[in-house]
Amino acid sequence: MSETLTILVVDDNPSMAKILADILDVKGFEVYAAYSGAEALEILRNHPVEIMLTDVKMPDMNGVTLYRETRKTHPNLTTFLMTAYAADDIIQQGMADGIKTVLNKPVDIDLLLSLFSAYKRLFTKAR
Amino acid sequence: MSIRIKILIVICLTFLALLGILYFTSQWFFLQGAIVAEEKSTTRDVTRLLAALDDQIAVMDATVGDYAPWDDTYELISSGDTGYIDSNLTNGTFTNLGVELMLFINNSGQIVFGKMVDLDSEAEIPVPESLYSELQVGSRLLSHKDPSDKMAGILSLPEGPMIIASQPIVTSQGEGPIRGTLIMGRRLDEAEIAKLSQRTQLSISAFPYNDDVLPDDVALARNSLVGVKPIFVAPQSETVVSGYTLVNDVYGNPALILRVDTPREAFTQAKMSVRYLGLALFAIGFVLGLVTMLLLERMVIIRLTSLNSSVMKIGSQGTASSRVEANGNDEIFVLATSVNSMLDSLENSQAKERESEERYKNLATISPVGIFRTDQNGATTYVNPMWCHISGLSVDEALGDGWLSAVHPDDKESLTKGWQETTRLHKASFADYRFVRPDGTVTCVMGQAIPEMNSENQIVGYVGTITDITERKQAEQQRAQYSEQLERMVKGRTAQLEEAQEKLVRQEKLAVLGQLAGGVGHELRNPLGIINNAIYYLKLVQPDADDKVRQYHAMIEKEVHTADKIISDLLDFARLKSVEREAASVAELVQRVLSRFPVPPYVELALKLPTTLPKVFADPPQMEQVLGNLTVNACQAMPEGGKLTISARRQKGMVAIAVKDSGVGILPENMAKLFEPLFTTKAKGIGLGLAVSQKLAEANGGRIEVQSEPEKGSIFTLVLPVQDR
Repeated sequence: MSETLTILVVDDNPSMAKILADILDVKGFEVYAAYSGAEALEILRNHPVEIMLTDVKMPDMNGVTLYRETRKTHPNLTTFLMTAYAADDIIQQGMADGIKTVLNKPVDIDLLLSLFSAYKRLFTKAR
Repeated sequence: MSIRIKILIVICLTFLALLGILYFTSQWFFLQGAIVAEEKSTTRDVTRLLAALDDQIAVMDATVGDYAPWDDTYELISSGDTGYIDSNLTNGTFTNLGVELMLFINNSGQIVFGKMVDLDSEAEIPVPESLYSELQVGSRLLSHKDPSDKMAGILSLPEGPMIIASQPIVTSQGEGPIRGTLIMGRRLDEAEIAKLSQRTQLSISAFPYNDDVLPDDVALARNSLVGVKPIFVAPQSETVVSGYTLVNDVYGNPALILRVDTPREAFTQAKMSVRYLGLALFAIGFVLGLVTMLLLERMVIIRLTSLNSSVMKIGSQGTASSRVEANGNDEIFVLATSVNSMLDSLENSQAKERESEERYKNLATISPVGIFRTDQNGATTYVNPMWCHISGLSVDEALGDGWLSAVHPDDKESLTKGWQETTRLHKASFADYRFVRPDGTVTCVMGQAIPEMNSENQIVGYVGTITDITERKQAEQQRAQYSEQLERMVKGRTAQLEEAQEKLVRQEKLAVLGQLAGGVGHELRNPLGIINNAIYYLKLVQPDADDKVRQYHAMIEKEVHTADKIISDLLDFARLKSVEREAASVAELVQRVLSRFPVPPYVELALKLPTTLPKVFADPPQMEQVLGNLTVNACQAMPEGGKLTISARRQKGMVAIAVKDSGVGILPENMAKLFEPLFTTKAKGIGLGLAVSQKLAEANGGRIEVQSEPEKGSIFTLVLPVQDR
């Protein structure tokens, strides 16, 4: 078991995914970046991931659908949603299905980092 | 003229005409026949007379024939023997022979013996002197060619006509030579004519042909008597017809005209017959006429008169229930039967008429409209109960022109005039007018009348109705009021609708804009987020960057923040946040606004906020945003400085918060576009401030009003509902 937290960043905008991944990487997290839902599922099959940070609005499958897919194989995966549309129906469905955290875009990096740090401590303790 | 007199006249005239025609034709036939018969019998008489005369002449000739061819006579001429004369030629011989004259003349023309004896008196009379001139030598009487050459006939002498006969004197054997001539004769005088008359049973008259003084009828007959044996017949008078004939002398010259007068028996008889016939016809006609008249009187006229008086009586009674008496089996009976059957149908139709009248009377009585009738001059003659009910008049009061008394004074003149016009032009009439009833209530009626015509198409009066339209009039009035009201409401509503539509259009525009702004905002947020994250990363990985780089990082961060603010405004506009209304103090609101959006020092601020002002009911942060917007705008309108006045007052149950500046004001052409999104006159700003403000005010049950005068300033007023307790 690693000392760090493994995070999967999913965003159809590669720059967004890459920069977030780079920042998290610099901050000491183990990060994977995916540019579509399918790519994200592929990574999940091959790598152990604890937290998934995904954009909601994506071309191939949206964030909530992706979450539902992951539930079948990774029931313990913690998923964070990122959205520019606060009052989206999809988000409401996602929250009803068990998503705990929704972050508004533009994402407040400091807030994100503090959140992940908190989860890291939590998971470490659990381990 | 009665049938009786007519028939009488016709019968009389016809009868007289027929009688006249019959009389005159029969007269013509009868008399003409009589005249023809008369002419025939007269001709026969004349022929008989001529035969008798010829007979006389023949006797004379025979007598001469006894003496001339005789030897004794022969001897006498040669010897002049007187013995012969004495024994044979005595006066008695003359009488016996019926001869008055005897002349024995020898060939030298000497009269051997000559003697003339009057047969009545048997006395010798002288021989007429004129006879001698006929007895010259060579004269026809003495010239005989041979022994058988003889002459007999009439000889005209001035003394009177004579019958003579002349024969040559020869021997008893009738042989010559001729020694002389024997002439015998007799005067054809009146006595002789009388004898002839007696013998022929004819009334005979003789007239010398050449007499200058003949009677008129004989003179007339003389002209008509021509030809070999002419006979002329002419009626002498009513009772006598005469036949005339001409007798030639021995020389063949006309000598005598003989006339035979015959009574006109056939003619008279015919005349009598015609007269009797006429009388008989007249009598028959008279009797026939009389019988015809009597029959006519008995069988036709009396019965006709009786039928007529029966019909007259029924007519005067006016009832068709009586019948005329009908008996017999002739035309009058048929007529009477026809009259009775006519009376039957009349009675039938009268009954029907009565029924129909009764029906109409009943209809008029129960009719829900008033019915009236007038005479041809327009004077009322009948009104039905409903008419009385409507007008409030009794029947007696309504008759004539009494009905006018109940007509409303304002309608009377026009109605009278209209009615006069109607009766003058014989047209139909329509009029709405009012009655004032005795109890003072006014009834509106609709009246109409049409002329009533008789079978000759003459006006006998008018019949009309009046209908109570009071309720209808009232309803009409009410309806008019309603419709006016409705029109007002529609107008108001239309204005509202127009306003609403305008608002809707604006809202739609805003919605479109909102969608656009939202979309654009979100799309811009991603790249902005990336830029922001990228800066974050750069700062993270270059903690020891030099100042210049840090400055640039800060610059990028600041502009990203500004951009994010614009996007937030856009999103605010696009997606109204939920309104949370509560009671709020205007003074506090204004205070917070002024602390959030401080007024620049070059602007003079004045606050007029009465303490008695009620609290408004609105979302405080949103109202702060609105008022802040208005304040910032006011300050920006006064870049050179000026006065900003914020005042509040009650306005029709609401509170009006006015933000007044003394700035540049708004051009009139811009007033309408003031609240349109993206409209701005500023160099900076995207023109959403007033649009968002108005949207917020409306979402809070209020509105924003604006007044402005270029170069003087503007007043923006936020009107908000009051908190009601």
